[in-house]
Amino acid sequence: MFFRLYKYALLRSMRQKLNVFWNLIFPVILGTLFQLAFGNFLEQEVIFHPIPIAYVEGAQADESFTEVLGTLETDSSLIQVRTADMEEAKTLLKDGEVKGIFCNGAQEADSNSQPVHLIVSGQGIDQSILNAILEQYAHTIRIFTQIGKTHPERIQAAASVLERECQYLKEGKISGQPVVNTLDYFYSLLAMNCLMGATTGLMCAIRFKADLSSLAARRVVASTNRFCVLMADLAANITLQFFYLVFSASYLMFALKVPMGNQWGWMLLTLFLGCVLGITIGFFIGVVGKQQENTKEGICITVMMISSFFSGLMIADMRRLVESYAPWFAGINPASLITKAFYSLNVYETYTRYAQSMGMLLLLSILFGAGALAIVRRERYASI
Amino acid sequence: MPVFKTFFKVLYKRKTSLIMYIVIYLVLAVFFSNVMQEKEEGVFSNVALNIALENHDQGNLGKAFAEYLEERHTLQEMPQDREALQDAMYYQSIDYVLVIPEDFTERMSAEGADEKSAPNGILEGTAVPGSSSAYFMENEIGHYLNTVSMYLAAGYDMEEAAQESAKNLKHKPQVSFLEKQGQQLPSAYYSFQYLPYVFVVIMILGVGAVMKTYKNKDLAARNQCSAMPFLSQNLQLILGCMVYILLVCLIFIVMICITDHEYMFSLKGALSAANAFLFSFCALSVAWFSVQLVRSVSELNIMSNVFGLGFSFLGGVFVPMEMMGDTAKALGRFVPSYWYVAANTRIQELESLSGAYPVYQAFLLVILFTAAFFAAGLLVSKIKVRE
Repeated sequence: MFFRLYKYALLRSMRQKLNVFWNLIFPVILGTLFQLAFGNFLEQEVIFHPIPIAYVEGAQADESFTEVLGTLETDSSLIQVRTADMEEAKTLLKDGEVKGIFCNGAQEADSNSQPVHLIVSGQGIDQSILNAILEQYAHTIRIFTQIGKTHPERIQAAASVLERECQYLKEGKISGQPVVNTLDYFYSLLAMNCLMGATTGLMCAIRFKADLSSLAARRVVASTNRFCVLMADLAANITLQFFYLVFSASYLMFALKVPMGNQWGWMLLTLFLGCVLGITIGFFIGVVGKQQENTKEGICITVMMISSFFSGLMIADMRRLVESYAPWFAGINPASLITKAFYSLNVYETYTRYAQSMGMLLLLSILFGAGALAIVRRERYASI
Repeated sequence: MPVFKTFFKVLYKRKTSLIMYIVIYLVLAVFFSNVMQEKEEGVFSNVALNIALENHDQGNLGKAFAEYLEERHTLQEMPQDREALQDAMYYQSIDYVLVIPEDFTERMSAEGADEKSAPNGILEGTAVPGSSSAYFMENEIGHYLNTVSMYLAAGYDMEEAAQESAKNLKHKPQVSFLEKQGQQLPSAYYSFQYLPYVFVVIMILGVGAVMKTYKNKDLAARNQCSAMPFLSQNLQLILGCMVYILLVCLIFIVMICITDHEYMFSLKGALSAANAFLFSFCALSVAWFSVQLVRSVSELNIMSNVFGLGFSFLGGVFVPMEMMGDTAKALGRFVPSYWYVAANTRIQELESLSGAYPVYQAFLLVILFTAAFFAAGLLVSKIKVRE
């Protein structure tokens, strides 16, 4: 009996086109938009690329600086040099083609300008690196002048220090692949997708409580055990929701190539618990109180949106803000917990924090599920 | 004017969702105008990175090095456990982690001046692999240690070398800006920036709902055989739309006026308001187009999300265009919000009306999009009537 009910519950849910849109197509659209907007963030804002610069050489140019730039371009590929005249260089800088102009001996209107100087159009990490190049050049010259005065015999020794190849730094290891906070948008999207199950959970409640729909009223008088019908309905919806989630996650990971980690087993478990929690929340909202279906649906959507907002669906740093200012809320907010579980899997090497989030997800699911069942058990209707 | 009245009666029924989107807009605009405002100063200064530093050094070079870093960057406590550190790196609240070992001074005095064996791997640094901040820090650290080594090689002792290095490294070369800096984007810029999202959504949900109600088959049939001429009914609907647009524009412009009235009563403010007004017509025509595609009012929610979020992400409303990839930039040109954002950005650069040509160009494109969506709506409606 259970499997027959399960099969028809599954078919019925699959035919609700609006649900299919919100659960299957909407995450795909939003994921694509997120990828278009944030997908490039790591590559563009964090990862280093050789900095394009314009180089203007005047009549009294300092030859050694030209050499330094040449070395930086060919040996360490720190910069890409374009030689230009002043006017051309300024246009390039204005159009954003280059990040800065190195002027070497070029006459500027400003008479007290130093022989080698830098012109930039803003402040940022690239400009800081260019400034550092200039600083290092100027400092080295000053040091040589100073040593030449105080210890002229050791000047060769000082110069040889610069010529040796030295790697002062050894790299500490932090995590396997570079990840940044824009990933939170995608985790949050999956969390929202999990919580969308709330509306299907609500539909289960409406089809179950005889005072909410005529279908439920018919079911109450049928000879089949009500809980058998309910369990089949819930199980079918969880199955379908889980399928939607796996689809969304696969789309994000394989089609859009979002680096969400590779611990498939644990990720599937997270998605499963997430969708169970979503559906039990919806079911709970459905059985508590006697509001209209529309009102309850409104409550479900509000809960889903607020929960996702605080997990970082709209602002990536939101989850961290909540964690530092209201840790108790981050500890019970379903979307934050799901997001945190994904994040823990991808970033930490240990499973402690992942287990904490998953434990809390399980506890919330049990609380909402048991609470809802406690409300509806032995429910009898005198008249409807 | 019964049709005109009913227009607003239907609209009133949708007040909850309309107000909800206005609140979402306010949260976004207020949050971003506070967070995104970068401090630009007149004098160039290097970017200060957030460095978590752990100094175990027994000698005095470690201390001198830490002082040098502190002058240029923001030093932070090393997070207590590894997970907290990973959190901080993920959220970019720490850019670089540097560990100075116990034997730092010792090794530097032994190997620093040595021509053959350089003190390789003397420090341990951690950053997002391949990131610009990693390059920047490696460069800075290398330069400091090179400087110290040069003094050591020249025969200075460690303390002198550290002192001289600190003195020398304070010297700053000349860096100038191409144009005068110090302009900060006004908070009204951010308030205008997010308007396309909320305009598209509330036009689709508001006007869309009314149009859909009037397109209800039975209702439309009853209206057609009423005594009121068809033209009059439509004119009243159009009038309703116009009043609604005016109301929406008025509400948002008054809200922006409250936060930044100085800006609103300037030339830029007037142009921004004109930009918003033009875009509201475009949003209306998008609403008209999307009404033709849906079968029920609940499907309007889908349309509002698809068009609202789609236009906002592709057009650079939520995320600046410079941060997007080439595909996204190319796609962006085909949505009206791209041109709205372009106008909004250009307006901030204006000094007088004489240089406003690019702004007018963007206005014109928004108008063209308005016409295009209206025409597309007419086409779909015609096809549906035929069917």
